[in-house]
Amino acid sequence: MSATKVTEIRPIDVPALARVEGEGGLYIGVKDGKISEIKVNIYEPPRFFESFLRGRSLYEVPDITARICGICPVAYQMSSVNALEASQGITITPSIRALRKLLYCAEWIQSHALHIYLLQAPDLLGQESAISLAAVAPEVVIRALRMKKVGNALMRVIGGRSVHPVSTTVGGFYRWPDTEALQALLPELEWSAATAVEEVRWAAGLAYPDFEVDAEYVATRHPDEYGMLEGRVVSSSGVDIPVTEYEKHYLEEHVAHCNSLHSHTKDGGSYMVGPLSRFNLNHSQLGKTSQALIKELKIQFPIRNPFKALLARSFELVDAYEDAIRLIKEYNPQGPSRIQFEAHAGEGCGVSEAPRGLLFHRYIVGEGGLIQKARIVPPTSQNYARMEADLWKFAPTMITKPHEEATLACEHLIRSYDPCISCSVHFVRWENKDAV
Amino acid sequence: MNIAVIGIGQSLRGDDGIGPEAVRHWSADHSPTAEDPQIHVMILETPGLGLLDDLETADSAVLVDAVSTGRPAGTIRVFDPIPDTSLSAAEKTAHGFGVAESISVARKTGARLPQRLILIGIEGGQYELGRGLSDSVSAALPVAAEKIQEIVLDFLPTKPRPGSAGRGRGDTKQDLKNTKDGFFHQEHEGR
Repeated sequence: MSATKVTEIRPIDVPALARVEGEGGLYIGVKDGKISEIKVNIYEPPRFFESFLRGRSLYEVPDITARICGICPVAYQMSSVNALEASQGITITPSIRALRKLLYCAEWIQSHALHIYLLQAPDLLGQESAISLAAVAPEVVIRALRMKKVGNALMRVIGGRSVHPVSTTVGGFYRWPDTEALQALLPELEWSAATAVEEVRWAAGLAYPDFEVDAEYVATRHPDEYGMLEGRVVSSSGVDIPVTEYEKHYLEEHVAHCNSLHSHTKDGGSYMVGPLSRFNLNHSQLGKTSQALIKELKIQFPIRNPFKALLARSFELVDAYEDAIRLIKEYNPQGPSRIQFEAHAGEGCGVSEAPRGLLFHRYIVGEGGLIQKARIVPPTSQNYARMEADLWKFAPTMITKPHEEATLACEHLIRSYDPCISCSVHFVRWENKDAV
Repeated sequence: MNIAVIGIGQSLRGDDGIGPEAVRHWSADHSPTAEDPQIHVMILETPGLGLLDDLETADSAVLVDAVSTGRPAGTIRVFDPIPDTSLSAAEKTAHGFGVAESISVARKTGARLPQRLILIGIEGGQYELGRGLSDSVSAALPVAAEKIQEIVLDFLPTKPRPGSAGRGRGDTKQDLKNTKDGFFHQEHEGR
C-alpha cells in the first residue's frame, strides 16, 4: 500500500478576482483543518449613485444610472424608466416596448457571449484566461467575438453607441432607429442564432464541477414571454408578487467586509438571481428552438449546480438572437417615439432582468420631476450572500485538494455568477429612518 | 489610407485619463495633421475587446494608454510591436481585457489588425476615482503629443503642408463630436 499523500490545508486568499467586472477578492479561512470563515471581499470603492440622483430631473435618470455599468447599461435604463413611468402614470406604446426589448436583446447578446466564452469557458476548459484559450482553441474565441460583435452593432444602431447607449428616455426613445440599418444586421444575427444552437449542445457537454446545492431562485416573470423587460417577481419558494411588494420580501443589509450591500429574503435566507434562476423558473416560456433543445438534451429542472449558469446563458442567447431577428423583421414603428408628459410628483418602482439578474429601482419624484430619493438593488449585491452560502458547501470538498486547484475552483464558482462588482458598490448607507 | 489615433482610458480614474488627454493635446497642437481626412481620432473609455472592432478598418493605428510597468510616473514608452503580456493592472480594465490582452487575443485568433500598430504607453502613478492627472503625468503631455505626431507622420503617405497653423488647444474639444458609432470621434470623411 502506498503512503498517503498529505496535502497541507491552507487558507484560500485571492486578493483580486480575475475575469469579473470590478474589484473584489475572496478569502477562505481555515482553522484546525476546517473552514472557519468565507468572505467575498468587495473593496471597490462605493460610488454613491443614489445620492447623485437626488435633485436631478427624472429625464436625466436613465443616462446617469446607465453609467453604473459598462456591461449592462441597458438594464439600468430599463429598470429606471419602468419605475419612473410608473411614478408618472405613463403607459408606453407597443412600438416603444418592442424597441426596448430589441435593445435589451443586444445587451444580453453582448454580455452573455462575453461571459460564456471568454470569462467562464476558460475555467471549464482548463485555461488560465481567454488569451490562453485563444491559443489552444482559437475557434471558440473567434466564434465568441463574432457572436458578441453583432450585439455591439445592434446596440449602436438603436442606442447611438455600443457602450452606454444614449437613446432611451422616460416615455420611450429620442428617435426611432433607421429600419435599413437594423435590417442590415439580419444576416449576422441569423448566423449567430444558428451558431448559438450548436453552442448550447457544446455547453451541455462541458465537464462542470460535480456540485449541487439547494437555493431559492428569484426572477422576473411576464405572462406572455420569458421575463426580461418587466413583470412580477417570482421565486422557487412560491413568491409571486407585483414589483411594488419587492422590498417587503427582499431586504438589504451592510456587512463589514463588503463595500456592497448584501440582500436576503425577509426570513433571512440567501437567494439567487440571474440566468440560472430565470432558466429554472421560466424555461417553459423560451422559444421553440430552445424547447426542442431542452428535450433533445434531456435537461432536468431545476438545475441545482451553480456552475451550470453557463448552460442557462447559452439557452438565453438562442432566444436573444431569435427575438432580435423577429423584432427587426416586425419593426414598423407607429406614432411618436416617446410619450409626452408633464412631469409631476409621484413614486414608482420597476424591475427588469439584467444579464446577471433581477434589477430593482424605486424613485420618489418631487414637484417638477426632481428626484427626491432613489433606491437601486443590483443583481450582484443580491447574489453575494448566495455565493458565500455556495462556498460554505463547496469549499470543504475542495480544501484538501492541491492549493492551486482548490483556489481556482472556488474562484470559478464566483465567476459562474458573472458578478458585476462595479454595479454592486453604487450604494449609499442610509442612516435616516425614513430613507427608502 | 485609414489611420486611427486612439486615446484609451477614463478621466475619472486619475492617471488612467492620460491616453485621451494626450490625444486631445496632440489634436490641438497639430490640427493640420489631425484634420487630414485619412486620420480618425477616437477617445475610448473602457473598450475592452471592443477595441478590436474599432481597429477593424484601420490600416495603421497608434494607441495611447496608461501603463503600469513599474517605471516612474510620466515615463513614455513606445511599444512596437505591442507585447502579449499585460501592461496594465487587470483590475483597472473591464474584465481584464486591456490593450495588450485584446491585441493578444486578436493575434491568436487571426482577427484582422492594422498593418502597423503602435502603442504609446505613459506610466501612471495613481488611479484613484475622482482624481485627475498627477503632476508628473501631466508634465508628459507635450512630449507624448510630439511622439504621436512623429508616428502619425511616419504613417501618412502624403504629409500635411508645413507651416499650417494650429487652432489652439481650447478649440479641440468642441470639434470632438459624439457620433453614431459610439465614441467621440474627430471625423473628416467627406471634407
